[in-house]
Amino acid sequence: MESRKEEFEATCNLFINSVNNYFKHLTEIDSNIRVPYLKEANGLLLKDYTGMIAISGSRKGFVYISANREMFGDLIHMFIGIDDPSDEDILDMAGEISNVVAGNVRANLGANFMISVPIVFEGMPKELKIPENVSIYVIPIQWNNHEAFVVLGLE
Amino acid sequence: MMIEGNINKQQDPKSNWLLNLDKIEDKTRRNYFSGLPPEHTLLDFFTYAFVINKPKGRVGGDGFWLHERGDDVYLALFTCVGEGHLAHMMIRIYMNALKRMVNEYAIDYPGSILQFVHGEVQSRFNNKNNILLNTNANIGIVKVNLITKEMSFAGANMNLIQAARDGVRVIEGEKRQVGDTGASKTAYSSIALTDTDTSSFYLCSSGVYNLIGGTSFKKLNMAEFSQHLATIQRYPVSSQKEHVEEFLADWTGSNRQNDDILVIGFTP
Repeated sequence: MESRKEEFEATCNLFINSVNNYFKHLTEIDSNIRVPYLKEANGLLLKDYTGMIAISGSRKGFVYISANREMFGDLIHMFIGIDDPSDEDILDMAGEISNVVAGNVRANLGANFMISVPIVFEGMPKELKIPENVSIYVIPIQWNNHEAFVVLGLE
Repeated sequence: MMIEGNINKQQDPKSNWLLNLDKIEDKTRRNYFSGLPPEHTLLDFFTYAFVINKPKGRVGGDGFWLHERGDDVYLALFTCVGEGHLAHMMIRIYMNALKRMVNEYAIDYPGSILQFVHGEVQSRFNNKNNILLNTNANIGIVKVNLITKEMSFAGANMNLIQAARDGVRVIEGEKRQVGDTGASKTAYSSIALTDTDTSSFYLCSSGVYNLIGGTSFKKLNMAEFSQHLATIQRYPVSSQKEHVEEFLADWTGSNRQNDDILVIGFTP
């Protein structure tokens, strides 16, 4: 049986690979993964827009993808050809990337490991409460001169 | 902008803290529903009307539009190809095309409105190569004169169901979608309807006919759905929404809803 640490790392890798594949195949621009690191629950990193996915089943937690408006704007320009995206477009792009990444990961996870439809938000919602016993793993990503975070938290 | 260190800590780690995520409002879902006319506004124009809008995910690729001009009201239902957030973006593009039609051109006939929208979307995406978005949509649009109850309909890969005294009729739209950037110049005809003051009408997104279920575990077809609409005509119009919702839920059963659903029913 996999240890908790190995399971945690395997889950992180699933999300890293899913994000990498998303950028590589859909934008044809590779993303670079910076050195991942552990962080305390009270010091989460959030950029302008975030798509957050709840994890339930045998492990409880979350994963989110957070980036600034400019990155989502570039993706919209590439995917849809819109040069002047509205705030609604930006939020939808954050939802779209989170959905695709979550969907790819869902296909690779066991039946006891379930992930939700992403919740998309802007800034820091006051309802976001994370217990202290959650391990937070931050994966900084560089794509097309933009920085994004994939952050995984598991009990 | 980057925000750090403002997360609220939850004191009891054993409580189901994931439930908190459900308390966070999904802004895309809010935008989706707030971008559509509220159901009650249909009652300003019709004797009775209902809207059943159930996106498969947090947002959907189905939308509708309502516009009053003089004694006429226009109601359009559209299904953008694809699903989820990208289809939701296309809804706004179609809504903006309709707004532009209203503000700058004031076109009268439903068929001409479809033709205009087709041209708008085509020109917007012309020469945009390699986009991932499918720009096509199915649209049904009705024009109703609020005084005389005269009605006309045009459809782009969408039909209108009319439940009249003598049974249910399917008013067929053109088989072509709007917004196909590869399509040549496209015309849509406007169809004048009869018996409008004694009928109820139904517009449905294509997702209704993608619902898998029933006793044979197959897609719902238009004949089966129309038959159901015929049977509920004996009930008061105010209870029709409930009957349609029950029918769709029974059809789907324990199967997962596999597409966005939008149904609009109205009695002129």
